[in-house]
This record gives sequence, C-alpha cells and structure tokens, in this order.
Amino acid sequence: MWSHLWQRIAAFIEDDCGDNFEPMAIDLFQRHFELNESYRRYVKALGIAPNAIQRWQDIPAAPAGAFKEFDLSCCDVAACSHVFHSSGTTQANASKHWMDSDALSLYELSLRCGYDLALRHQAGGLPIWAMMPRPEDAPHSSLSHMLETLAAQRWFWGDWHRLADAIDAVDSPVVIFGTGFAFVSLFEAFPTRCWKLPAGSVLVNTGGFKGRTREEPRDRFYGSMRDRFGVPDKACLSEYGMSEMASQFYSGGELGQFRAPRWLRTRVIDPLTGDDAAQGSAGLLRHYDLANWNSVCAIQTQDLGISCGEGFRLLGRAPEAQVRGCSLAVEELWNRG
Amino acid sequence: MEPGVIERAASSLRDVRRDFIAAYRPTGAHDRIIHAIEDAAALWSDPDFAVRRKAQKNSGTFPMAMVQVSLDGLLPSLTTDRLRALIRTEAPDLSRSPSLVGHVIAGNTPLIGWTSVLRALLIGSASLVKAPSSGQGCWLEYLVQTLKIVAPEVAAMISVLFWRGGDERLDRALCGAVDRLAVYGNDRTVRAHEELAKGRVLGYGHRVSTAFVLKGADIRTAAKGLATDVLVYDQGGCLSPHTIFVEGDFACALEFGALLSEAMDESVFGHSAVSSSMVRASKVREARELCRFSDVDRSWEGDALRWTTIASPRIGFRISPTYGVVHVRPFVRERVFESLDIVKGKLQGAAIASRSEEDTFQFGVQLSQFGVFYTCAPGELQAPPFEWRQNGISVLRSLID
Repeated sequence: MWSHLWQRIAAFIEDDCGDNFEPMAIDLFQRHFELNESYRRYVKALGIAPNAIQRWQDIPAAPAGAFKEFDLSCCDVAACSHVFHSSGTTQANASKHWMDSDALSLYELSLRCGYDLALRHQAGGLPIWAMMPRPEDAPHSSLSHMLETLAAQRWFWGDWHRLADAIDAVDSPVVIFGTGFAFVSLFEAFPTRCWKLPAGSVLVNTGGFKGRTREEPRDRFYGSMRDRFGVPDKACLSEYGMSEMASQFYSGGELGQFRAPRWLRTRVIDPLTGDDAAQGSAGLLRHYDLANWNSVCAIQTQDLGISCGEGFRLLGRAPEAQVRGCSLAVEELWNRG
Repeated sequence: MEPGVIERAASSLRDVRRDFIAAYRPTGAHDRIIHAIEDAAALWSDPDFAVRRKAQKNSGTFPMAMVQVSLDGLLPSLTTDRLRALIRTEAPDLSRSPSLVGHVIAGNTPLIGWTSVLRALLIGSASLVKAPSSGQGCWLEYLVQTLKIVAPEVAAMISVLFWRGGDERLDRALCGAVDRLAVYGNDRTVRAHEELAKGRVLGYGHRVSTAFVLKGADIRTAAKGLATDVLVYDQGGCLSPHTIFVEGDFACALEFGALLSEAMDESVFGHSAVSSSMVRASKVREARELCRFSDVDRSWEGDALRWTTIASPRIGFRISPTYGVVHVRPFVRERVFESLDIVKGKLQGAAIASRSEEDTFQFGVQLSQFGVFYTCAPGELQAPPFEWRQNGISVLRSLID
C-alpha cells in the first residue's frame, strides 16, 4: 500500500520531478501514524486527528529524545536490518534509529543525492577520505555508514601518522570528511605541522565534539582547518546531520548557512511558545525529512539556530540545563546509563 | 584580576587571624566567634535588619521568598548551644585548625557560601572566598556586612573576591595560598582544584535528592511540602527532589501526582527562570512531550512551563531536567535500593512523609545505608540546619583532619 509513496519520494529525491513536498510529507505522516505505534500514541495524546493535518508544518514533531526511550519504527524492530545510534552517550541511552530495507534504501539514496547536490560543482567525482571508524568497527554509526555509501576510498581513525603521511603524498584533489574530534586530534598529534592539499580539495567537518574532552571555538577550528591544510576558506565545509535523520545539510565555512535539499525542510521554533521563532531570532531546529521512511518525518531537535534565507545558521547544541545550583548535571547522570 | 591580589589577600588574612587569636587567646577567640555567629543570626531574624532589607531588594538569582525557606532552617541552628555542641562532637582540639581556608563557590544555591565560611570561622580559621561574578555572590557580601556590625574583628577574617571560574592562573594562586580548600560546583570544577591542591580539597560535587511518601502519610500535607521542595531554587539545588516515590501501586502514585500538581499550582513560589531561557524551556517542553509517547505515564502541566508532574508506573529514580519537572513513581520498601540504584553515591537528601516518627526514623536508617545523610519532613529539604553533613562530609572535622 505504501510502495507508491516510497517510489514518489525516491523519485523526488533523485530528480526534481515536479512533485510537491507537502502532499508527500502529509502522506508520510499518515504512514507513520498508522504503522508506528509509539508515534501514533503521541499524536493521539496531543489530541490531533490524523486527517486534520493539512500543511507540512502541522505534522507533530517527535522530540529527538524519544529515539532514546522508544522504538520509533513502523515495523517490528526485529525485521530491521540496521539500527543507527547517536554518539557521545552510553549504549543504554543512545538514540536508536531503526531501518528496514526500504528505509535503508531511501536513506542511502538521500545521502548520495544530498552530497551530489551540495558538492557536485565543487568536488564532484573526487575521491573521498574518511577520518572516522570503518563501518565494520562502528556498525551503529550513521556517519560511518554514510561514508561507506559515498564510497570513501581511504579510512583513518586513530593512526594520525598514517593520515599525515597520506596527506603529504597525495598529488590530486580529495574530499576529506572528518568529525571535529578527529580534526582536532590530528592537529594535536602534529602541533606545528602544516600540509598543502592539492588545489580543489575539500574538507568537510561533520561536527561531533559531543562526549569528548575537548571543545574548540568554531572560529579557531575553521582557521586551523584552513591554515593547516593549506586550503581556501571556501574549501572548508560543514555537514550537519543526526542519527535520527536520514538526510543531511551542508554549509560552507565557519559562519556558513546550512542549506537543505528539496526533500528536507526546517522550522525554527521558540520553545517558550512552541511556535515559530520571530524572523532573525534564535530557536530550536525542527526538521521535516521525507527520507525518514521507518521512523517519523518531523523531529524536534535541541539544536539552536537562526532562520536565514533558504536555510539556517547553526548556533550549536543547546547545552544541558545550565548548572546553577548544586544539582548533579543531568548529562552526567544520563551517562551513567 | 592578577594572582598577586589573591596572594596578598591570603597573607593579610593570615596576619589578621594570628592577631585575633593572640588578642583573645584561643578559648576566648572561639567564644567571640560563636557569639558573633549567634548575634548575626539574630539580626537576620529581624525583618527590619538593614542588610536583610537590602537582600529583599537584591537577592541574586532567586527571589528572597525562596532564600527565606533556607534561612528558616539555618538561622535557628546558629545558637551558642548548638555551635558548642558541634565543636565538642567534631572538633574538640581546635589548636590543629588550619590558619586559612579557601572556598570556591561556583554558581551554587544562595546560602552555600554562608555555611562554608561559618564552618571555617567556627574552628577559628580565616576564609578566602572565590565568589561567582554574578548571581549568588551578593549573599557572601551580606554575611560579611552583618559580621562587621556584630564583630568587625571576626568579619576581618573573611575576604571575598570575585572572578570568573576557569582561570587556571587564579585558581592555582588560590590553591597555593590556602591550607584547606572547600570546592562547591560540578564534578569537573572539583577535579580541577583537586589537581591543583592535592590532598587539601574538600570536594562538594553535584548531587540530587528525592522524597518518599510512605503508606499512611498525610498525603495532602506531604504534597504541599514537596511542592515547596521542588519549586524553590527552580529545582536546581542538590537538595531538590527529582523523583518522588510513593509507597504502593501506580494508583497511589497517580493520586499523589494529582495532589502535588494542585499544590504546585497554588504555591507562592511562582518565580521561574524557565521563562527567561530558551534552553531551559526546551528541556521542560521535551520532558512533557516525551511523556505523551507513553501509554501509561500521566502528566500535569502548570502554566508557562512553571511546573510539570509526570507520574509513571516504572520503577526507579528518574533524573529531571529540573525547572519544576518532577517524577512521581511507585515503590515497595523492600526494593528501595533498587529504585535508587542509578543515583548511587550521588544522592544528597530525602524528604520522608510517613504516618509516625518511628516509621520515618526506621526508613531514614534504611536510607542512611545507601549514603543519604540528610532526611527531613516534606517542605524542609531546602532548609537544612547548620549541622547537616553535605555530601556526607563531616561539618568541622573534615577541615581539620
């Protein structure tokens, strides 16, 4: 019954076939309401009748935290071939994004097309290197899976000398994806060393300091990327995604604006009112992702951003409730599992 | 600020303390300090006391009504008899007291600085305090101003400096300048100072609290008291309950959840920092939304995100995002430790509502085996007396040994 919707979404992702985001988003919501028991319970608790959804903005957004506590899946999770976990937290309280074969196909299509849309002019066809664990070493990492799907040719994780030598030796442009933590670790392993990547090379920071011991101010981080690798500012990109989503955003540089592919939309929400934040004001990002086939389409994140143009400026993850008393930091306890 | 400021302040405090002890001789000096503390407490019990009136106008992060709850617990315990009893029990040999105690007060509840400094004073030590550059720092100034009125020579043994945390040069200077250091803050702050002042740090890392409503308790009274315990300091204190356990089944928890919500709705502690912060609001909102995913959990929600009660049949302590989000869960007495397992070693206090003092006492003994050192009636969690052993650390002995 739902295969036609799957095909419409896949066609929309693959090629701007003239279909509209909104009717597909509403149909996808209907699927999730019908098949995803936890989500259905949530929508009912909100007092929303499924046929009352007339606009994509009206689709109830599941808080990202729900992926930690509930199996948000349209099928029995035993039938899912893959589950992707959030990073930086213990296994017990990690978010879990379940995918069956249909969901996985749409996810892989989305990430390939998203990459093409964002980088084809700048880096189309270039070989990709990944500064992260291989999928076999991190089977629940959506990031590793993404790079495998993008056919990364070389993988580096922990052995920074090998990476440093490889960068020294490379003589044609490459795209290097890495977590923020990986880039910082490389810089710390070689505090004074600089490289000169071949012209046309691109660096993609996937974020990911969370749960690590070091945080780098953004401006310093991007300055280091530029200076250490000998690339221009425009070659330093960012990718923003989350294990709970099948699609990604890309942006250029430190102050870049993240732009979504056509099958992904974002609202900036004022958490005080639950409505859209005023134009130009910061709020929490709420994403609507047509490629989220098996879970939920709309996700309320704890990421802060400002709406601008056709995208948003990411301000970062909302920190845990600021410690202002002597209460145990909530994150510390979450991490106790 | 430069490290030299800290070093000079420390040197001056040591001189002042030496002169004070010499002037009063050891026994007289301690009598003088005890009386100064008692007199200061008496002044604060007078609503017209000038410094207190000043605090009414500027009470830092939290409104005076909230701080008053803590003052109501602290002030009556600052009497000559009780202070002498504490010395007899914990510090009979004051000749071994350190000359200078440092205090790092990092974004804590308002009166933490008071108890920390008064403990050091009580054993005859001078105090050099690193106070937060905003928020609660004013309360330390009020303490010094009060002592100046009743005993200027005692007040002179306290120096309060303000600087932002995380400046290692200044932290290092403080650690090098004092004999003992009491550090209040998150575990990272405590660890950082332990590195700098090895073996001389009393670390008061973060903790959480809980409450128990035992069978036969007057649940309406318990609900009113616990509403205060939750809402005071926006649930951000180490004595703020995150989960309230109700003895019995889920129906008992639901009944209590409804009463608690009613009490929170009627509470005088209407102030909340939630409405001023998008991050805080998002945490509360997420807690509310997550509850709706459950087929059995039930929530009650106050206006403007002020308070949220979430009742669940699930077993075990649940951490709250604070800001008035409290969990209510059933428990059975025989399995109480299982319920608390996730916060083992991190539990500060517990309010107990029961049908009798004997029942409360017995249950308190049971909790003490789990490392809970402060138990009280509902409504008194935020009002510990001076003698309470915060984080299980002895009040005076820990500063001397």
